[in-house]
Amino acid sequence: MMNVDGQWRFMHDQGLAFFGRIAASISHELKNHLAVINEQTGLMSDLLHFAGQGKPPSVQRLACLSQDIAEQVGRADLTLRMFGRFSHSVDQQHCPVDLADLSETIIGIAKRLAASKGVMLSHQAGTDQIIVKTSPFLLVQLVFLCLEHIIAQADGGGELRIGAFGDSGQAGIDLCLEGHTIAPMGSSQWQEMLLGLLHARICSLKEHSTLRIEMPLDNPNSTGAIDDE
Amino acid sequence: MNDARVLVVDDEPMFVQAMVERLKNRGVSAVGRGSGEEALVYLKGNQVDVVVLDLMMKGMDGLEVLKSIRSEWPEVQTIMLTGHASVETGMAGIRAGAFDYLIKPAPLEDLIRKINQAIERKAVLSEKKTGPSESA
Repeated sequence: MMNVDGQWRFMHDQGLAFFGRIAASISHELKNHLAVINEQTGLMSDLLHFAGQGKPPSVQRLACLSQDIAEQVGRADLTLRMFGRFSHSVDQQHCPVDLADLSETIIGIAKRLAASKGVMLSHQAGTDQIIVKTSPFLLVQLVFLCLEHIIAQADGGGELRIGAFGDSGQAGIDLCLEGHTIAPMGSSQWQEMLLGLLHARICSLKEHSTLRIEMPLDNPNSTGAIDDE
Repeated sequence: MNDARVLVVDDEPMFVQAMVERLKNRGVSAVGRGSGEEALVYLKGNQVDVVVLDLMMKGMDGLEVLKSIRSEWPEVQTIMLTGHASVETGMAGIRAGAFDYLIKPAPLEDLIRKINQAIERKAVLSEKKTGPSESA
């Protein structure tokens, strides 16, 4: 059993490693967007070069290239916005968290990782806004553990829907991979610590095609404190 | 260089389309494919000198495709493209048998220089395999 100092260090190391992994993944994605823009502006330069030689490009062609570049800029901007939201999740240890927003953020930062395994992430929008008071950064990490567990089992790919649920006493996030049976999650020290800090639990629903993370509307562990047992 | 047959493989269609067109503008015979699986099908039916291959793709990733190319068409040279900021992933490609790698986004001139070098290497390997030509 780790002492309190050891647990804090462990939590800090896990959080830093996770943040670094996401930052590297986003950097990779942005470089891909830049690579597309680089090729398209290069192609525009080629067309201008040919125009200088008396072979003007069609206006439609230039409009198409310009539109493609704008689309890439839009995609890169969305990725950066999601990364910005994620980065701010470390700002406060206990604050109101909109679970639908958090789900969207997770999809934004994880979509390339999932796509590389053939899994498409989508947001299951609910009708009501569901707010819990908890640590957003710890919650993102717990959802990611579940996400990676599901993706590892999505043999042949599929669509993984992520959405919030809630009622008067409980709230949480559902991760549903339709048509698949998700094996129960194994236990790890980090997972147990996250569940404890968030006062959360993970259960299986809908003939094991859904993992549900349940938590109280207001996490009683408001300081993120670790008990010295 | 005008005889070079280059296959560009990346799962980003806009990237493939633009790069292929720019290579063609410079006299390179280039075609594009959107996945590792499609690239392997193309290689089965067509002569290719150099494959420009993205490392991280949906489905079969670049390293898996590279292994198949090395196994089925060992004379074909492969240049890996990586979006990772570190050289480590590119080096992983070289260890797996790639001719070289480039970090995205890369100037086209750098790619063309590497394609030329790859073609020279392919020629050397072919000569070693068949022996020097009689005119040499």
